[in-house]
Amino acid sequence: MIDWREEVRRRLKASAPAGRQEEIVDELAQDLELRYEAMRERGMAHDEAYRALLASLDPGGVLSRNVARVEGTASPFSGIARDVRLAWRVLSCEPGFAIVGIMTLAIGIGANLAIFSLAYAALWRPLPFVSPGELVEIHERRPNGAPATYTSLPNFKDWQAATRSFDGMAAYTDSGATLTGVGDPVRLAAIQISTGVLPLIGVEPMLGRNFTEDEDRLQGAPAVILSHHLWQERFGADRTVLGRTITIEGEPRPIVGVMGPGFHFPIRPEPVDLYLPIGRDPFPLMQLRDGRLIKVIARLRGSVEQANAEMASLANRLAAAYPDTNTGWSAFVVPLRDDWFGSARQGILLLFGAVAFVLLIACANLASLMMARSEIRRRDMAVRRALGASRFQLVRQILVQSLVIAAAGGIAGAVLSTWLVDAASAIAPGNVRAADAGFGAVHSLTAIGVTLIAGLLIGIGPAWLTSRDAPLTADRGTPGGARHNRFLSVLLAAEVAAGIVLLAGAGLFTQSLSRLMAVNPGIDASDVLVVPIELPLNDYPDDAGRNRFYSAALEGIADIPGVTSVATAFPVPLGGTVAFPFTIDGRVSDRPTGAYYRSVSAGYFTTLRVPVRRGRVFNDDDRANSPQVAIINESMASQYFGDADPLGQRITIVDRNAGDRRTSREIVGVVGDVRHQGLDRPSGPEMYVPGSQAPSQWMSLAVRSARGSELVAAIAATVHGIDPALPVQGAYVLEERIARAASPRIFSARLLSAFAVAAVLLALIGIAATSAYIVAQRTPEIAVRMAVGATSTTVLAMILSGTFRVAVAGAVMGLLASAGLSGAIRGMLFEINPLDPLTLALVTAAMIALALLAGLGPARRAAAIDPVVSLRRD
Amino acid sequence: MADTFDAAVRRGSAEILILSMIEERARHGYDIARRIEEQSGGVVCFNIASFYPLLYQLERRGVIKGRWVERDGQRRRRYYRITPAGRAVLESQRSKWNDFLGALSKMARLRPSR
Repeated sequence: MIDWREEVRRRLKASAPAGRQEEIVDELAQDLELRYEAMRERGMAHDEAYRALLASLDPGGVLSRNVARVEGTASPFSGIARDVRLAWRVLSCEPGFAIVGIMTLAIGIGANLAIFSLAYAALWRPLPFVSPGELVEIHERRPNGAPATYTSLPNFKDWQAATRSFDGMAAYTDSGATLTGVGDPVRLAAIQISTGVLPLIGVEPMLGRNFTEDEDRLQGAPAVILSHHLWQERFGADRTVLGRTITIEGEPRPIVGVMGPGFHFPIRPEPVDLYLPIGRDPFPLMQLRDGRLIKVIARLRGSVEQANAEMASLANRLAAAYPDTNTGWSAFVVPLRDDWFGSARQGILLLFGAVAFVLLIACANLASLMMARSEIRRRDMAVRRALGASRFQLVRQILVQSLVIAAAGGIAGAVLSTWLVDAASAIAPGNVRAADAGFGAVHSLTAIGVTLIAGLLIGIGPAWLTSRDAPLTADRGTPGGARHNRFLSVLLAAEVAAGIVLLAGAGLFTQSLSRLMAVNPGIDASDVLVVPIELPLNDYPDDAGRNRFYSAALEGIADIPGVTSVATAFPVPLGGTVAFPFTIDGRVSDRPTGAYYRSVSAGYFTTLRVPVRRGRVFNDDDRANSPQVAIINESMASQYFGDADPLGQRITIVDRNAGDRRTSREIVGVVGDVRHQGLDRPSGPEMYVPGSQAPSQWMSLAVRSARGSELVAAIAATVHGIDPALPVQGAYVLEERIARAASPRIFSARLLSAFAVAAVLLALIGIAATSAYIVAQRTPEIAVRMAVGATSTTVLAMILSGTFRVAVAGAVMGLLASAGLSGAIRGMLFEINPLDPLTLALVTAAMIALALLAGLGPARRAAAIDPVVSLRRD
Repeated sequence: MADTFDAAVRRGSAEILILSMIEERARHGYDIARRIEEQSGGVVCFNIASFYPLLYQLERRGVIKGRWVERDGQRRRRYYRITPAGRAVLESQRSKWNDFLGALSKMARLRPSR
């Protein structure tokens, strides 16, 4: 008994969908059975009948193909597997093309995914809070129209009481706190929060509880909540830690809660160590209506417009009630995400644009290579078309091939991106943290999406053009050749254009950076070590105590071998800014104006080498109880005193950090401007007072010494000799800090340069390969030209002028694109116009020259064509 | 050349032959193939590998319709019947072949063999 079903099944393979397959097996087996019986009845031997039937069942193995073709018409996707196998075979026959293609795409896709991860973390991913879309910050607008992100506690309390547009409002601010008694004294990153913050964002402590109202007011019960990592690192993840008392800022406070592991309040880039109640802050300025030290977060009940309208009218009412502090101030809401990540947006979008251009060039490159290759296979296509393959099937076959390359490139790119993301998040500006980037479902979907788009971009042009010409051109030269060459020219021009955009960007950012680095900061920051000190208010409640500490520290440190000079300052350069109101004695003014304020010891100007323009600097005779003096910078002198001599004039400074203490001071000197806030920020009017006459609790030590950070241990020992409970940490070399302030620019410039180099290299490879292909295409034509008298020079010129035309067209496109994008980068450049004509001209000339250079090799081969040989071959 | 010609003729004529076989009544695949072979005196015969895919293609075009039928004492078989669209196709094919064969016999002086 012959099992005909099995014979059929084996030959049919998987050429039809499962259910249908069984029907076909049934039908064919019955047919075979009937034929077999008929043959046997006619007297045929078993073996003969059996062999004949098997031969008729599947001559040359066509059964499965025939069935698949018919059944395949049901869905445009059946047969895809065959296309994929074919694509794989074709690619493995051309490993060079495959490897170049896959690597090119891996770089393009990998870079895009890495930047996407950062962009997603910063710009799009929902914040890990309940209904984060409803969360807003409330900002104020200054009388001069500038936004102010911080407001005051009294304003916040009035807002909280009087508004109806919000489902809750809470206050927080970033600060620091010293922890003693658990290991070495340590300075911690803290956030002060009102009791409303955690309920508002819908987060609860993992252990323990939130602060109570009683803990969130002046003279309230002390309490502290630990972050998860501090709990693990300093308290060994001890679950019985609740209720234990730790010393924060010199005051014993019980631990009432521990936050969960994933909780991060990204107001600052570094992780937060602990949380303190904001209302208990004893800092006097905190209680003043114009002490703008806190941020306000709220949950919208209705629309943004409604909330803005209510805040505006409330601000007017407060201005009427408190004209001294609130006149001209307004308030408005800002989505929480914009407040936290808005500053990072521009840089990330810039990088995004740059990597997108790199990917586009990679795609254009591969498209032209595909085009050249599919050209070679055009005869094959024509035969397939003649044999009945539809145009759709041909297009699909080429597209599947480009998608297979893209898929391989995408997988390699995804792997690459996980490395790149670490590198990129290290240089990402603002609050975007490496840990936040990662690779999740969204990233996988994006990877697939980018890969698909890349595959389609690569394949669609070649697929369309090649399949269009297939039936016509099989045996008749290359009527499609001109069209294909036009397509290739467009791709080349696009590569040149994208190269110019990236080169121009890199050039602009590099020049911007070098101009920034050439700015004179107004100090000599080399060999200056800065050691931040914070004296706890509990231990150092008054000026006398602080002065005793600082003079002992200055004396002790000056004695350390290798120390040239030492000073204290609040704040140090790049250590933040403080602006205090002042009035010029004897002048009538309705409102005090503000100027930057620095409290510095006598050695400050020597240590930082700030040039003295007139008068004198502070000296040891400027003591707490000696005549009160001040020094101003050149900007302040020219802005407020014009041509008059400021020396001997008096100003009254309101010390907001000392309960608005007003002190009239005589101006004894004028010093040069210092770019205290960074090289890219002008200094503005600035006034200095002697540290001894206004000792802040936050003075930093500035130490000039060639020994640099080697000195930290000796300085710590000196400080601990005076007060063993003071943490000495976070010391830094001033010069490095200044360079780091410029680091987002440095990295933008470097990354853009790297992208530009990659893009230009890709573009040049593309130009060289495509020129070679076009020359090969035109060989018969060139041979004819040479046969009728063209010299190799004219051929060379003809080919190069073709490349030149394409490059110029690309350059025009690139310049237009650069002009279109100039607005987007204007704000990120320092003292250089995004349309800087010299940069654009140089970049354009360089790109065209490089394009010609890349096209030179193929052009010379064209010029060397022997017309006899190539015509005979044709 | 001869093979190609045979194949082309077979492919071209298969449609009208199959449709004619089931014009009056539904038949299963083997029956159709056997009748074509018999009635053509063995001149036209299909191997299984091309015949059934042809049937399936006609079915997909809506020209014929196949249905599994179980008769008493017999295994279930797939019977094909012509659809109204198939009848229209058959009529049009008949007139085209008539014209073509008429012209061909006149020009090439064909004589039907007896």
